[in-house]
Amino acid sequence: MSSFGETLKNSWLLAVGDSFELCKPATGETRQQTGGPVLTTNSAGSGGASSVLNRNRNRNRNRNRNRNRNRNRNRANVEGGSASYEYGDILLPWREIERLHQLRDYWIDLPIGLPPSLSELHAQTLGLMEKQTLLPLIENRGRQDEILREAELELSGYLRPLGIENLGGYDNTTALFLMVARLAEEVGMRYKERFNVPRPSAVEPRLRTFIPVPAHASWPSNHALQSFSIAFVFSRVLPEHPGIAELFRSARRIAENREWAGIHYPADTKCGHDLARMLAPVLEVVLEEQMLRARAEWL
Amino acid sequence: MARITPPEGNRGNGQYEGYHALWHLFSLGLIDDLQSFDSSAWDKAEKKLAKSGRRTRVALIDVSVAPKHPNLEGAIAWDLAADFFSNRLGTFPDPDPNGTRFAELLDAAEAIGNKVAKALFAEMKTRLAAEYDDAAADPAPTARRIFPATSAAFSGHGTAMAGLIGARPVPADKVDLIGTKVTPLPGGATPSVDSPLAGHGLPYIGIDPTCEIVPISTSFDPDPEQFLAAMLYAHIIDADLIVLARDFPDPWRSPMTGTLGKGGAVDSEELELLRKNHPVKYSEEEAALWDALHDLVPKMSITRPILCASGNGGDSTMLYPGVLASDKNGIILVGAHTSLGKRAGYSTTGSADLPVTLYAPSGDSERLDSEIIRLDRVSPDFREDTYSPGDLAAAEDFSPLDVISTDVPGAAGYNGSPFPEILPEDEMLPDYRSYYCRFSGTSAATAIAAGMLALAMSTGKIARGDGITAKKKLRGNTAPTDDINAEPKLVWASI
Repeated sequence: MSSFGETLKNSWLLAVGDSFELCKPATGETRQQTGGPVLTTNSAGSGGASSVLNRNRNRNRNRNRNRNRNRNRNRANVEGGSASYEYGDILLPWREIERLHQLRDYWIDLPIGLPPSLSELHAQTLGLMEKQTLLPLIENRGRQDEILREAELELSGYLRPLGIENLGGYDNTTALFLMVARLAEEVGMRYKERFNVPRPSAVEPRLRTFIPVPAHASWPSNHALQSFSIAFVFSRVLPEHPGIAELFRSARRIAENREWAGIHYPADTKCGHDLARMLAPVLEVVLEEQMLRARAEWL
Repeated sequence: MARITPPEGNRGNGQYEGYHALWHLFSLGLIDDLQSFDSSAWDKAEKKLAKSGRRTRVALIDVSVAPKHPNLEGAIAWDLAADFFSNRLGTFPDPDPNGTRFAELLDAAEAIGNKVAKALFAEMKTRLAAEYDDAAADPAPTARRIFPATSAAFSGHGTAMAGLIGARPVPADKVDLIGTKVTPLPGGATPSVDSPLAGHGLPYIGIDPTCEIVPISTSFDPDPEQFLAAMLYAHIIDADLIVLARDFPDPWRSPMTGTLGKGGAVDSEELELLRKNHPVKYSEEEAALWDALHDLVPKMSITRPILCASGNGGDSTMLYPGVLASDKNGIILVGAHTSLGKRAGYSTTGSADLPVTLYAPSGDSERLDSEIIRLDRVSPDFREDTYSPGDLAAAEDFSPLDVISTDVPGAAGYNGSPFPEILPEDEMLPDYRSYYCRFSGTSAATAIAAGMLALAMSTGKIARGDGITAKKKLRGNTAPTDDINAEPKLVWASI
């Protein structure tokens, strides 16, 4: 007999409701079905109904039944520029900011390399110039609207791919996204200042930007860093979500819209993405509790 | 009594039957006898291991796996585990500072794939030895280092996959399920509470408890390079089989419908639509990487069989790269059947050109459409009077059984715990319930099929190094796949 059978025959692990029970092996009548031994218990579990969309997504045909549709997200409260989260949906996440700084050694000098040379950057403005000529075309009206909407932090680009844009009951998920954006911004500002790369329109004044040029440096793009950080963090929270690849594409679109607006080089977008990827291990530690709270909304 | 009482009998009562966590082992015909839990397959695998010393090596390309799960102790080859989430060339969550195994494997690995794959392979080969040493250094340097994104809290899927494949039971004398420690009453003596768990071990087992699993974690960024790197890493560590219960989201090669064009490619009309709708830039570099991956996956499967989940869409749209399965490669497409032997409600079906290779046990899902009617009549959400009687008559085949696997201990994972983090430390009652979870989907079926293939290799039933033969043997017969009845089903005796 193998060494494994001994433990297995001495006690049984039973799935009961949403949980598990260890017990002595069944001695009474057991029924053999196709699926092996099934025991009758009286536990009032709700196991069959509880599931994650991940494990099989159709299971939850009715999972949103009790959530408020048309949630009132009170967007009007988010005002001003990119530092205004504390006036909006969440309080300033001071605990998380504190923890981020306790772990400063892990993110202050990530190997993002050096920014491209000024001539390379100047060469990249050619592509931006081309976008500048395309943006006014009628088929790019949608993109214009996106650029204006995304000038301030706005979550629809992240919530829509996940199917929760207009659903209540995901407050911890949206709060998580706001926290990620807040922390990533703080990290990004440090890298921006270190390299102090001029904006495309400073390098090439004939580039006429679609929106005002932000006051801080260009490389890396904070829109890319924040958007991709949201995607990378959510990819840890709920990797089973079938919309995750689309969340990443939406994040990329938000970042690329800044190129279309003429205020970021493609190199900024790439660096923002790469930095977000390297930063994810830090954020999953800093934000662990909020990430678990967000995950619980989906299970 | 003046009380409003809803009529009985028209809604589900929520009274699910409990069931044995290892029911799937019986479906698979692995356990010879219910009372003794003997399996001649495990006997054989143990004997063969004692002789050869070589464990079947399973590459698990998934999210990370939680460390310190008691049932996974010995099952995970942590010295080889790698993460590609954060570091493009890979880093190591738990390298062995004194081990030489990784260095030897890296040394011996030969380039594979097309030019692009070979270039990435060369970069990995140059970098990984130093990365291994850096990650193993104590304390690890922090500056200019990328840490792995593998924290236990977000390792639910990987942990469940690993458990189904290769968990080990923990004997009663190895686990201390002591009673709850109780604070003394004011002025009283310390009370002692008998543990109802005394004498129990942790009786959970994976399908091949002699194999070793190498977690290779990635993110869900549709970045082809990380998938290419993860595949190359499975090659570097000389995996005997590869588990891929996910898709590689190639924008042009992930089909929208089951209508496939030439050679399994996406139908040309579909492709045009996809290209028109792509919302972001698609660079030549990206295209070259996707091409390299497209070339590499089937190529690798010829020597290292790759088990792919058919998908949880419930339709006929297979996941990429599972769609690449053919007689000429070792890509195995796994669908899910329920404890009642039916195809699971969500399990994606195939076609004559691209059949599901085989069906393995998993959970079920509800459906009500022109193809399948399956309703969970026990669910408290179920209201009989909202359905047509004809539909209800057809709805009897729903199975409430999920497969059970290992879960992240404590509050995280699929199955929570009132205790934030519970590990079996001194004087602490391990919340063993949080060690397990219900798991389902074609992911679970894929993990089960991978465990069966690993066990077949561990017992010598299936030889290593030949994906095409492995696929044929694992399938067991040559009759065409029957999606309606979920045939062929994976059964030990027919391998």
